[in-house]
Amino acid sequence: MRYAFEAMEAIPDYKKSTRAVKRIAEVNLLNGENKVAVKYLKLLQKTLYYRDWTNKAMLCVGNDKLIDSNPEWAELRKYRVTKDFLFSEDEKDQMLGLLFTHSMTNRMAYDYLMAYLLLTKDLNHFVEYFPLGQKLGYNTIPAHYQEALIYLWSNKSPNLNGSPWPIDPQIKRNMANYIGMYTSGYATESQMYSAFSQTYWFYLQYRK
Amino acid sequence: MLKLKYFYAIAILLFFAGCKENVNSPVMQKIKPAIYPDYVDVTVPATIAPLNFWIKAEKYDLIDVVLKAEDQTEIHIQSKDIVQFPIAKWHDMLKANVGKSLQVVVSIKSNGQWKQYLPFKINISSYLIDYGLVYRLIAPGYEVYSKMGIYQRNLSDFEQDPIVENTLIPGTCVNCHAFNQNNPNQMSLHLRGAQGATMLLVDGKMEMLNTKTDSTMSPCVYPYWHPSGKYIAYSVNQTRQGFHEVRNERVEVFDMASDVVVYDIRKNLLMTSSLLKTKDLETFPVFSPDGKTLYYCSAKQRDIQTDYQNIKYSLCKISFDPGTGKFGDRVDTLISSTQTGKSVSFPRPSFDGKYIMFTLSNYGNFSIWHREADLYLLSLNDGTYRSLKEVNSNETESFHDWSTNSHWFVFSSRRDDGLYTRPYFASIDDHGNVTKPFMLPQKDPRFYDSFLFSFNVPEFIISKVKVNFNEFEKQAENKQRVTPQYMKQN
Repeated sequence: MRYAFEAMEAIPDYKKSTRAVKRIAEVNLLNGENKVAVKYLKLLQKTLYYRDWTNKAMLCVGNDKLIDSNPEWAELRKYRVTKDFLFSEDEKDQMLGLLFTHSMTNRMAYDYLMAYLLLTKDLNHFVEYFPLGQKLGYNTIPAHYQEALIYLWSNKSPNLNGSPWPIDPQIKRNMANYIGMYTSGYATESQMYSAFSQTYWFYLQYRK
Repeated sequence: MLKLKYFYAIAILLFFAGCKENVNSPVMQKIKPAIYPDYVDVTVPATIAPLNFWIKAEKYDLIDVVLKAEDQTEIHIQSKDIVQFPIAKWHDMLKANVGKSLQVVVSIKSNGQWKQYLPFKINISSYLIDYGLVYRLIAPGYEVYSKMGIYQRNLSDFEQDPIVENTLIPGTCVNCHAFNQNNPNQMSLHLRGAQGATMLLVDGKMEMLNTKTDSTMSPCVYPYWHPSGKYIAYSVNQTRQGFHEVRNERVEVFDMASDVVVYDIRKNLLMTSSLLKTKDLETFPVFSPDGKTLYYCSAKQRDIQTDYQNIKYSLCKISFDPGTGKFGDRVDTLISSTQTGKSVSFPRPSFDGKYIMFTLSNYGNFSIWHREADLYLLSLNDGTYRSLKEVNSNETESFHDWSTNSHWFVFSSRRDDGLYTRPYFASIDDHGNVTKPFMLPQKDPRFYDSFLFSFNVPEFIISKVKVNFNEFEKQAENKQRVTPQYMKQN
């Protein structure tokens, strides 16, 4: 909800966003903040495109059974943490970690946590938390996760095939090409960008 | 002939427009009506704007309201939705009934059937209230802010005027408006951002200060004027924001460090004492009405991550000599957090010297985000304090301010919906009896339902604030600032 609220406040012409109001209303509804939820829902009832959704949501105010009959809402309510923790803007990993450890089936929290660690280039924690995702129903390891893992392995061993993780052969070949081009000493950033802009390695080494 | 037809048509329209349906054979209810805002049995000043209302919780085709004085004069309203009293008649009636009560009979008609509620009273206080109110309107958000402004509202009508809006200097934040004992001729407010400044407005002369010195940790924050008009007490704070993980709590605003300072306006000197600049947290300074005492809140610093719930502020005081600007050499604790187990914020002395009203919450100092925060009243005669149960609710009560005669106070409360802060008023008599609070009336009583701003820091004013927008903008934009000298006393 905080990010929906922040997004709405960040609108340059000081207007409000119906999508953001909907999300704020929804979170308040799920959290049992009924009076605030109704305030936002009443605003949405005056819109053309959100009225139907709102009228249905209005029926759910204060009705936990009806809320939980919506599978998405029921799942989200299950994921809510019960033990408080005060986090700042710089501690999103801790917040996401607690959210995930509260409910180890919360794949979205895991995804956000791993993405946050990749974005902040915190690969030590990334590799530490990586095994926690084994039971979350991934068919394959996401490509950027594989790129981060093989990068870590490449720092330990030149033999990319010795990696303990099931890395896609194409990613291994890309990694080898990346290493070759990067270590040649001749490749410019522009050339690296042309060849590898879609990889985690390029983000890791060329983007702040 | 045509003109005559128009005349008759208009006459007929006017005739029917003035007609009211009789409340025939109403089903009598054994309860008072659940009107919104809740003005049932409230006590109001004689100059308050009409208490317009409606009934949210029920659907009706007609609402009939009779406002009747003891001398049987009445105002009779009938409407399809909201009840709006004619302002001139309203004021006449209140003025004629100071110290008395008005009776309000509410009936509603739905599905062809009238029902009538038990009458309620509106008590007209003999205590005068100040001219108006100044508040900041801001969305109850987190770190990003959109449009905000500081506004003044005439309490006798519905007129609201901006004092400063952040659209004047885009991207800025405006906060901490303060007046010397409700006098708009001595005003200060902060402008935050690239054009940051503390604006002082004294008898029409505007000045922009840069209150951040090399010796203080931040620009000046929470202001309180000395009654002489020669000093302003501030805190300096390293303030941070944290976000709660659990669902029913949102934001925590806390200080990593804070001290208390006093600004000498004439000497352009920022002063503190070694007793007000310690490793502990000191904040929310306020002067006593005689100007000889500085009250403030103080707490031991704790680790924010692991121990933030044990940061609890006590109410302290130190003497102050207005002639020399010297602080006393001893700090006394009036209310100790070790005794209360709770945290004091926003101490505000009444101008008659009898009380200090303060907010008490479980921990921390930014009580507006604490649902458990309530108002308390400390008697300076005997040192006892009590919860103001007459006005507290299950939701947040936080900032508050006294009227000039100390018989009214305004306070922020989130009781309406748990998030949006609204101003409420209550009176206190010579014996400390407090009346049921009422919400700031609006012309359309449905106003608050769709209003997406909080009323922040409500402060009384005795007359209209006059800020020259052009001069404010010009001075803010040119970035020339007066920086005070700094002096720490032993």
